[in-house]
Amino acid sequence: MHDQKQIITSKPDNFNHYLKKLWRYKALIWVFAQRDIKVKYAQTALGVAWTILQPLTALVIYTVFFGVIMNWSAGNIPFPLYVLSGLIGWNFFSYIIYSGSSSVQDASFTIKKIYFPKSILPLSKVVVAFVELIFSLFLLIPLMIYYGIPLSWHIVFLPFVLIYNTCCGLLLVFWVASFAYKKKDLFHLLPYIVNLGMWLTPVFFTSNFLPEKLRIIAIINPMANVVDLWRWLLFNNVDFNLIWVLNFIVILILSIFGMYYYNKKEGEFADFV
Amino acid sequence: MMNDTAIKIENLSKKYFLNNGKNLLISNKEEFWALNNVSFEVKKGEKIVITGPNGSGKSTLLKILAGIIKPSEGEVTIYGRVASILDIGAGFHPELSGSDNIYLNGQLLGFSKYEIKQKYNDIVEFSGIEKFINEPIKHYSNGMYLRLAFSIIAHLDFDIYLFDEVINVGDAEFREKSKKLFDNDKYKTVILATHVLDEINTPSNRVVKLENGLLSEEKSSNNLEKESEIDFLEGIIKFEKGIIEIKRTDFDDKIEFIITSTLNEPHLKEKHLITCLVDIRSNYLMSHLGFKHINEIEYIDEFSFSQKFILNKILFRGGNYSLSFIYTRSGDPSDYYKLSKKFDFYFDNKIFELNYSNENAYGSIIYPNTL
Repeated sequence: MHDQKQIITSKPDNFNHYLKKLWRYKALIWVFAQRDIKVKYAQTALGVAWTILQPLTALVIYTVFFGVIMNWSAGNIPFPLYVLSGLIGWNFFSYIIYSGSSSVQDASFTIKKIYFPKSILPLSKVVVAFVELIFSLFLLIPLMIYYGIPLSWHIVFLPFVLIYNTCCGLLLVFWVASFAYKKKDLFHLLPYIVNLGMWLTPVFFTSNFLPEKLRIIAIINPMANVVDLWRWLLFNNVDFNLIWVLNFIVILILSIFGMYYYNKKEGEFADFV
Repeated sequence: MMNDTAIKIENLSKKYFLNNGKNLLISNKEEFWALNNVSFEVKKGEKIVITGPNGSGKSTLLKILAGIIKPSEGEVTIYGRVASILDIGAGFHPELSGSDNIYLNGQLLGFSKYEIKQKYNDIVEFSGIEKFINEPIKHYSNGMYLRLAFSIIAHLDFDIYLFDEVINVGDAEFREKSKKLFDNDKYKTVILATHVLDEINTPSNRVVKLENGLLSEEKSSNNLEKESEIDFLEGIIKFEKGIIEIKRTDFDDKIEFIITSTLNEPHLKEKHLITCLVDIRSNYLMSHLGFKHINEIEYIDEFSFSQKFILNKILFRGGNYSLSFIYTRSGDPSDYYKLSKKFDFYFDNKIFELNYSNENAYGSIIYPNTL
């Protein structure tokens, strides 16, 4: 018999203990992600193809509208490639936000009946987002070959960029979820933030396209940095920017604080969802 | 020294706020204590029943023990791994197959894929749904859901099991099977919450009663049986023959069973009771007890009872009962004479358990269709 001792009080777990628990339940992250993926494509004829179709349509729309009709360009990178490289980071981010922020609500039935650390939920969405990101490489690689653009050696920094990108998403998810589990107004606000965010992030335009006054946004907006970083990673089209590192440190700290706060609040989730 | 405590509950309280109507800005909230200063201890291997009417805090207590919600005050210390079935289909995904769900659920409960694989065959066999194991479980019935959920936790290595009353969707055979599984394992601690006491398949060591979030009673059910059996027999012996119709007049879970009025037939008094039947299930509003006297065996046929024996025990559930009595004068079935006396059976915090090993025991439920 295991003599595992557990004390339940009104207080939230201390953060250290919480992280240990999270580690113990880590397999669940993958289990939930796997379940999401299986369920998503169950009873669809095209199955996984939908994952490629979605960025493909976005790519076509942006390329035709901005690249062809508006005749924008992106320096030495072909416009479709420029858009796609922006979309990779942006879609990863927005997927984490959309599915992460609703994850607690979506799992309400399970939350009310079984215990597990709730951070598992948004974290599992990161895994799903990552799988979708890999699928979008099936678009990127042929496109790069087509345009004859070589992959930069900077790609070795991919894990760092992924963490940066993840933190941007989780930061919002943790903070919004911790504040909005009682009153859900913030959840309604989120799509507006994401929509607006896309126009403040150089996904389909270049940073210098922004008017001088708004240039500051591109520096503060972490996603603007992440998207630039993705391009630096893939094409080495810009110089490394020290702001990226500073911004990353701030984002990382805020995300960890977000998780800490989320942990403090999650004991009440089952009472309110 | 070996620690023999499984769960220690100290001054446990859970507070909710009720919305008492609200205007746009100020909501008028009222405190509601779902649990109020509850303390008790559960020893390793104990089988415990928590009872009480709906809304008495049983489920809240189980949820706290399972770690799903946090208490507002107080402390619980748990030694060992806890498994719970608090609802049908929790931790399952309807789109996935039964087999996938075994892994999903097992991992949700903190086991590795490898550990689950070891037990997979046992789980499937015990659940008795081999045929449907590759079907998406959205096509399963409630009973099948429960069998699967139960099989999973029963075969994985837990120390403490929490069941909410949902457990009674299983059929009698499955319940019997599950009962054996736990009876044979004296290390497993079981806590069952139910508002209907005869649902108990696992013989409990103790009954804990909650009322409005307060702990109102904590008794060893072994002692209960003894004292109550005597009271009950003393009362019932005066009826001798006939049918006792037990009708629940409410669904309150008061457990009193003292016969306050008796039939005035002294000559029957010395004879003893032979027959008794019961299948008082939670879902029935009305049940019957049949009685016959050994010396008047010829009257048996008049009572066209379908024989129905449940295990070798009769277990009465709480409730306010009224009693009517049917009595035959002659061998003519039309000569049934209904004493239709109304008696109130007060079940007062007692569980009645009556052993009948007598072969002449008879009984039936007479009007199952009207229930």
